[in-house]
Amino acid sequence: MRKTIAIIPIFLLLLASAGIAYAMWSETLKINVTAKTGELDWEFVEGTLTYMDACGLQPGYGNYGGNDWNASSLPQPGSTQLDKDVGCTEAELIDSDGDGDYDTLNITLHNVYPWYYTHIAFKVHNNGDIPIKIWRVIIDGQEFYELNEQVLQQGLEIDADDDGLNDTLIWWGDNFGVQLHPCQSADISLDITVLQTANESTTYHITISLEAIQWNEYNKGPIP
Amino acid sequence: MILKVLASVVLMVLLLSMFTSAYAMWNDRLKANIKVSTGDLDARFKCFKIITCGCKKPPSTYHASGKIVNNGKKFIGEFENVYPNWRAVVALIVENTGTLPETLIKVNVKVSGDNDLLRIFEYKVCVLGPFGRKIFDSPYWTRLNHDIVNNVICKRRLVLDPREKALVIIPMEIHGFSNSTDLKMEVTFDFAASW
Repeated sequence: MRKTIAIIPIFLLLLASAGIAYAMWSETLKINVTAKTGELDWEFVEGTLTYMDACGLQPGYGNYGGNDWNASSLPQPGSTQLDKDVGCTEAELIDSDGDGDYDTLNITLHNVYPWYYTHIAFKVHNNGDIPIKIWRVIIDGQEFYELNEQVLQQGLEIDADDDGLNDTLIWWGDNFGVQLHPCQSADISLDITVLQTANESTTYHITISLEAIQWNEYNKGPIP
Repeated sequence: MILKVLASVVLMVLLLSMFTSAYAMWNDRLKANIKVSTGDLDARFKCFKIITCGCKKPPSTYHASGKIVNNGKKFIGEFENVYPNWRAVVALIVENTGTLPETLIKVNVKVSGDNDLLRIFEYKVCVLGPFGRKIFDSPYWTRLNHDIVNNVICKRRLVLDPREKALVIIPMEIHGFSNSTDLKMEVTFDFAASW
């Protein structure tokens, strides 16, 4: 019993000494790290979309006339205007996710025929906070980078209905690897020609995706 | 064995983590949807008229009839008991029923009958137009007669815009006498999307 009584003061003494140590003056320096990430974002620029042979133009010659254009320069891009207004081109920018940016371009060619030619041009704009580079274009499932852009410049024939015959030809303007700082924009254009093997009374759908990545991750080809 | 499995799992996790880090690269995608709707190339015979010509009234045994078949792609004419110096005209309206301009490049006429009769049978083909929508109502069609047909300036081919029409005229004649007197005629046409 005496032993127990003796242990208690010793324990209290130890506790007191610890308290003294803890009461020693001290000061803490603090580093608060806040990482606020930027936004990678780009969009089609409203008001920059132009295209040949717009639907609704009155028949006539010139850029403001509705007469069609014929791909007379095949296999190169280029055209001559015909004496009739038969088909027409319609293009519209869409904000598909409602975030205020135009992220989709719908192009429709109405009542067209072999060698019908149209040209569509637009601007894309970096509306994010970090520089971007135009990395790749995916046309009808085929990927194109700076490494294989020659294919697009020579004209890409597409079999949109998978019947074994190419029905559409697309030339794509060169802009791979272009770096866009925030607020900068770049021109992109494409030419579309309907090929001889296209079927009558048929609707072809082609999807093109344009992909931009953060500039420091840019690679001329697929990510290794 | 267990060690091997464990090593494989670790390797897979490592590979997956590498893939994930590559895929996590920031990107943003814009999309262009292209819809190409091609037009329709089509033409059909819409109606016909058979005009039997000559100064005299045809014999009562003579009979001419026609019909448009194959969904407007073919005209069949039948002439029974034709006679010496018989003259007739088949007039057909071809309409561009498609949505694209087209060139009527050729009218094909196939005449069948006894060789003796065919030897003295003659015909020619000419195309007039293009005419607008009112051709059916126009006095030109209803008053079409042999004299008008003989005096028209024929074209061999012409361009028709959608809903425009052409008048195909086939004047026919028999020079002489034959024991055989029945003729059958089939008329078709070729067109192309060139203009």
